[in-house]
Amino acid sequence: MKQTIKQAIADSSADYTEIRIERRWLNRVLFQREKLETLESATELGGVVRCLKNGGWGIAVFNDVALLSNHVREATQMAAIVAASGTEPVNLADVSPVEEEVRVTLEHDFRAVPLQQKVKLMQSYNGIILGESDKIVASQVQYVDRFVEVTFANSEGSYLVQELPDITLLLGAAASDGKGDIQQGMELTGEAGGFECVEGMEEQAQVAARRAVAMLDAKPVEGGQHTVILDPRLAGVFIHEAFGHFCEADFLFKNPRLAKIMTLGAEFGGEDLQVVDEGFIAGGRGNVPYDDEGVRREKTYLIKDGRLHSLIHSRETAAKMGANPTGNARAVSYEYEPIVRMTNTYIENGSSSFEEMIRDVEHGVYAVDAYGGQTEFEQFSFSAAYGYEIVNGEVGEMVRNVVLSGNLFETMKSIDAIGSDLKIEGGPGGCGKGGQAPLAVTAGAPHVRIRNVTIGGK
Amino acid sequence: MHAILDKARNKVDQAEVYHLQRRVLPVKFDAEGLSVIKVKQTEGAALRVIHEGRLGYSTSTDLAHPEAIVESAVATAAYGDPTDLAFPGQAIESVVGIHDPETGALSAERLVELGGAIRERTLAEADDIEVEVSVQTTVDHVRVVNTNGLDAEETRSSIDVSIEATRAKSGDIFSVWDSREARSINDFCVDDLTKRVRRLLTLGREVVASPSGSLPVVFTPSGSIALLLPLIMGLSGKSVFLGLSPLGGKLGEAMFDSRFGLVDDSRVITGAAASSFDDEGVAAQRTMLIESGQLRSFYYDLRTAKQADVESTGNGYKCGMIGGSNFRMAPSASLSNLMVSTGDASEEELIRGIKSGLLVDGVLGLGQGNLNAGDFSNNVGAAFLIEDGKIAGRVKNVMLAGNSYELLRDHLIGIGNTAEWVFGKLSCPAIAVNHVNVAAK
Repeated sequence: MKQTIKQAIADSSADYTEIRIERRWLNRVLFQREKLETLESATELGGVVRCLKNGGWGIAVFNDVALLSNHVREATQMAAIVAASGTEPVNLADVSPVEEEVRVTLEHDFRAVPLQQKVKLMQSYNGIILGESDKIVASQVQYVDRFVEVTFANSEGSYLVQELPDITLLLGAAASDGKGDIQQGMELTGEAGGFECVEGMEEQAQVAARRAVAMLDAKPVEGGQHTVILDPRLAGVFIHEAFGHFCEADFLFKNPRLAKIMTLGAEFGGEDLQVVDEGFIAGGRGNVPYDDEGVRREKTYLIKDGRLHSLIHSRETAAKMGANPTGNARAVSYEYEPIVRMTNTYIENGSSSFEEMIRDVEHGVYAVDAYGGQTEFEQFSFSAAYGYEIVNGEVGEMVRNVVLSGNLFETMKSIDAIGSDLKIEGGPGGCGKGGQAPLAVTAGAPHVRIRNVTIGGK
Repeated sequence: MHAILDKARNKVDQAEVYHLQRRVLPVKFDAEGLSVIKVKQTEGAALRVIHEGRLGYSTSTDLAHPEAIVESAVATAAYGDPTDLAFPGQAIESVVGIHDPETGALSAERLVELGGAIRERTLAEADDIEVEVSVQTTVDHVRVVNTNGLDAEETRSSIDVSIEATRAKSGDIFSVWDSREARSINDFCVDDLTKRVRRLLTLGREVVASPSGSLPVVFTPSGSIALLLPLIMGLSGKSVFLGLSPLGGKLGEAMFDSRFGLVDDSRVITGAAASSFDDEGVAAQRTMLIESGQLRSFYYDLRTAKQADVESTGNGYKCGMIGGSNFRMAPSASLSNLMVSTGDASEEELIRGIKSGLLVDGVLGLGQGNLNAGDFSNNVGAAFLIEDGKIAGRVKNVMLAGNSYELLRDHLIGIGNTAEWVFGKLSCPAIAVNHVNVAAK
């Protein structure tokens, strides 16, 4: 393969040529209620060629990897049409060529685990959920493992092979009161790791089921302005969704109004607020030793001491802004070209303990986990999975329908305490952008306290 | 494909191979102009087997190794879901006109020309907007073969265009979006393609305050998806089987206003889902779902049909509820071309009849709310205030909520007399309903 790739690049008439070939292996087990709804296994081999000719991009995607030179020629032809249209020529920021093989060793390699063992384990979790209470009316247990071997080469002399493992588990329960009210409970995990990451989750299965049942009796949260403590998962989703996307340089090119707000050095929070995007953390689903342009991972401070410190870049956006590439050009698979994406994004530890954070809150809400939400520029709204009242400095009764909304910039400035219990947790699914989803990422934070957050009831 | 089937035949009771060769040619213009052209040629196969009464499934793009695909599928069948379904063996009669060779063979230069013209026409509408356009052709060659004698094969072509226009002023961003899909480039004309985006840009120039309360709302064809999504779920044989559909057990009953009708028909070639057979090799058909307000049928793939002890309605597709198909997903009950019956008023007449209400062209965060129960709850995307029968400006930060089953049963004002294809495979007129909960922030 190496010879074919090198030859195709040598034969290319483009100014810049890159080839990415991926081998992908995937297994999926899904139980819904008593039923094994899905059991599938997939292998893929495919590639993408990206060429620059006279400053225009042309791309070819294919499964037939034997005809590499044809695909390079086709991409070059397309690039020439783009260049001829008079579009502003693309430049790429300089990076040093690399030749490396990044192989992984997994503690308990899921590729060696028989399918039967995967099914049996998921079946046992499913049984725990369904058996927890007669109020449980549905369950969902989904296991996915994926192993990708990426070969990347470009006309600047880079040649990389890297292995990217990914394993996720969702444990979901739905409970009904028999009168039409249905509530859910969910526990998630996910890692760039081995099978050990989904083993021993019996307790979490039980927790998911118990929470669904408990939610039936939880009262709707009282709407209004509250002091809110976000748990690490919700705070992580918040920092990724509401803020992280604004740090993607390509987004700012398209949104000049936000680009004006997102100037380096501008103040977004207190001195104790540090926000990081890091290309490699232990087990992080967002791990990319090298990105899909062959750029080595970085630890990028998006916010340092409360001020905007850096954006994240591809080689193209870095050249356009006179910045350095940050290793954030990622594609969801060989069917796509790399675009600017986050990896593992988190708020760094502050100095408060949870105890200290909660003790002077007379009346507030402890919001836990996220069930999704939406952002429209700086306006956001997120649904917490569940929450608790905070009364006189203590965690009180469970509440539901906790929807947080507000203006991102005002909300970030209202963060007045940051915990010291950073957790970066993975889960199934991932991030979507420009038609590319789901991209494996993680997000995390310590507990975070925010003043004056608007909480809507149902 | 027969290599995979033949290898599987000796190892399992029944086998089915779905094979897709796809060529997509997308041409993209961003705010500055033509940005990228991509040639995408992909090929993959899915093998479904039934062995000792259990289902197995595997997919691959590595077709040079049929034995590996068979091995994976057989391995999954050992623990797969018990089933007693039989793959269909009936010959397929082809629907004419699904492939337009001229459209399939369009060059990148020709698509650049069309995209450029669309962009220019839209930009000419206002001097304060940015426009992004993408044009793409798709040619799918699909083949389904199984051990019960089926060998169905078809080439399908389509061309689609999407336009996004954004007007950014201080403190306000207004984004409008449209997308059209046709079988042939000859069905496209630039004026027509850009009409909706241009109209919305004009209507949305001024932002006005929205009233709150229980108000009449006119959903445009593309806005109506918010209202229809709960029904799309509720009419699925799968929802009925899982006991999640409020329509379960109500066949023959008047569940909606007598003016409301819904048909699924994969033989209508102007719809993006047109095909002679579904992804399980069941012949294309027309399924009356709701006729004059009466519930007539649910829609089924082979598995859900078996569970309900009925015949498949030819709705086994390898895609989610909405969204494109690919070879990877296992087939499930999914709609083909969904068509809402037209009524007798024009969209203008529906608007004219409203004293105070909204015209909703799009919502954000589709799918929020307890859809199984029929509840939708969405922020509006492009939406406009109707005052004394006229559009008075654009509204923003407005939340809509309601229950589709109640609205379409008890509060239907009227249905438009012309249907448009939106999202490729939904043909819908404007729908006006009363008593939608409107909450302005």
